[in-house]
Amino acid sequence: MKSNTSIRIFAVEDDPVFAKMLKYVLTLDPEHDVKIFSTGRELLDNLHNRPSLVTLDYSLPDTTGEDLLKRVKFQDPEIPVIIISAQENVRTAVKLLKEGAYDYIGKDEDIRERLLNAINNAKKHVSLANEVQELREELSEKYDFERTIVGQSPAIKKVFNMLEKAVKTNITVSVTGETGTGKELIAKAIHFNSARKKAPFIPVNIAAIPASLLESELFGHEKGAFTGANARRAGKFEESHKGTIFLDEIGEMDFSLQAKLLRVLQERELVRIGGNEVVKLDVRIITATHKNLGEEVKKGNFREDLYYRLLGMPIFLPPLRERQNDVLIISKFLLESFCRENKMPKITISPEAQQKIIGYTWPGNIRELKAVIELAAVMCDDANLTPNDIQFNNLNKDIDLLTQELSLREYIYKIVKNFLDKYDDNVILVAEKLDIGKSTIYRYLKEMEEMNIS
Amino acid sequence: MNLTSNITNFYYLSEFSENDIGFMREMVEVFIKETPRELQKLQFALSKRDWKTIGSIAHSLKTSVRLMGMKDLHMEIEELEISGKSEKDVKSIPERTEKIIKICEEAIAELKEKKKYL
Repeated sequence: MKSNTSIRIFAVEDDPVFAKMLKYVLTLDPEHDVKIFSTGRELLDNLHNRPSLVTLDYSLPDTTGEDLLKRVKFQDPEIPVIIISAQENVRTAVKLLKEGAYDYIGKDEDIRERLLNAINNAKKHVSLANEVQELREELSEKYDFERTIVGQSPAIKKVFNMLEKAVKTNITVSVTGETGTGKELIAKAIHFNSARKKAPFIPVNIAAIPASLLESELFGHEKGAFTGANARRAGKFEESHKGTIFLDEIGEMDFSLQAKLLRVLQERELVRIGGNEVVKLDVRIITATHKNLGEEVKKGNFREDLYYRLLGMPIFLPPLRERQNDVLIISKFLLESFCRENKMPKITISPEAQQKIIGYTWPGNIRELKAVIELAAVMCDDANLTPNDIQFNNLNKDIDLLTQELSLREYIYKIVKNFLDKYDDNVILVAEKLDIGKSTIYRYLKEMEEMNIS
Repeated sequence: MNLTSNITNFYYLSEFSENDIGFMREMVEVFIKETPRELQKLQFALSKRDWKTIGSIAHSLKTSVRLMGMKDLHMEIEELEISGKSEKDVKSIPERTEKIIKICEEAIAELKEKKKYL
């Protein structure tokens, strides 16, 4: 319901005179669609019509306002209920408010103002509640699988299958993949498509939090637990109760803290730093890392028991260069989204520009692709991207070089050429930098010339 | 006829509805139509000395009486409600009930007259 549509109000009032008056007040606002019932039964029978607001007379022939309040709240806890009573009794009022009544008003002289005030407040409450609901729906729509995972390559279809399985249970999920492959996006997609979607999704980047603070960040602390702990603080695990915690870069966690994490995962409960109280947890865990955790275990950097506990369902996100034509599908998707969000006319990608996109190895994966495409969309002069609009990031040239799988000799040529360019063909300086003889450099140059390598 | 004289008055209704005559007339009509039935119920409960029922009828009657400007009667009915519901001071109930019925009947007759001027 939005404020510009009609607001359905159900009122229960057995006294016909007061009912008339109530209807008069409630219909002062033409937005209100008011129905008056004389018994509680009638209201309950009509509750499926989903009123936005209910007012109840406290004394009714077939039930009490208190009992009716409980039944209404049982059927739909979100409906604000205003109790109207001929006797103003503070104790009753407090009791009813505790039971979930939105307001309690007496049938006295200023009832008109009080009722209108209460209704206006309740309307704000309803519109906020609806806004939250709409945003929630928007969020799950945003993380709808179809919108999150774009591509048709077998590698990504495998991921898609895994996700569909992951959302049905609470199984721990470990996402691996190179930087920029969308690990957090996958974690969000799992959360917002699972039964936990109404509870919080709490991301924690282990690498971004200093090791000394991580423990209290994750598990919380009591007041006075350490210098500077001025108040009790709930940790990220507590915050994600009933929801999902996403532990990004889990491979960066200190060995000593890994033991505590293991215990929390095993017991499904925690004790805040400096405290005794045991806090029960109902949290789904999703982890991500760009490291090979199995290797880290072998090296002794990661606890083997924790590794197995966290492995759960492993989802590997393939790098873009292994996703065949997906790079074009994703490019078009990103371009369309960018144009839509920025209210720009549609832009297409010329065949030459497409070739340039396919030919590149995308070491920064989708994150890099997104940056390149968005810059290209801004830079291009007409509604068609040309190869000149597509500019790769220099930062990634080195990584790019390594992913080209050249022979060692070819790599040597590239390195020598790079240094000569950098130092204005100063062979002596380059020889010194590369710690090789001058004559070796001349030999390489000669070979390059012979092989026609520029 | 002076609309504010006698037992009933329209101060409250007029203030409440910002002098919406149509609304005031409707309220008076509902009062004239519904109240006799309540008074009958009251009479019947009295004949059976059913104090609790008297208390609950008094409860629903008191708001409408107040709307018609009968402040004193409102207080009287409230006392009847309390003694009826709690079954305390029952000796006062018959006399008080009779009195309330009588005033209400007079009020209805008066409102029937006043309605013509609305």
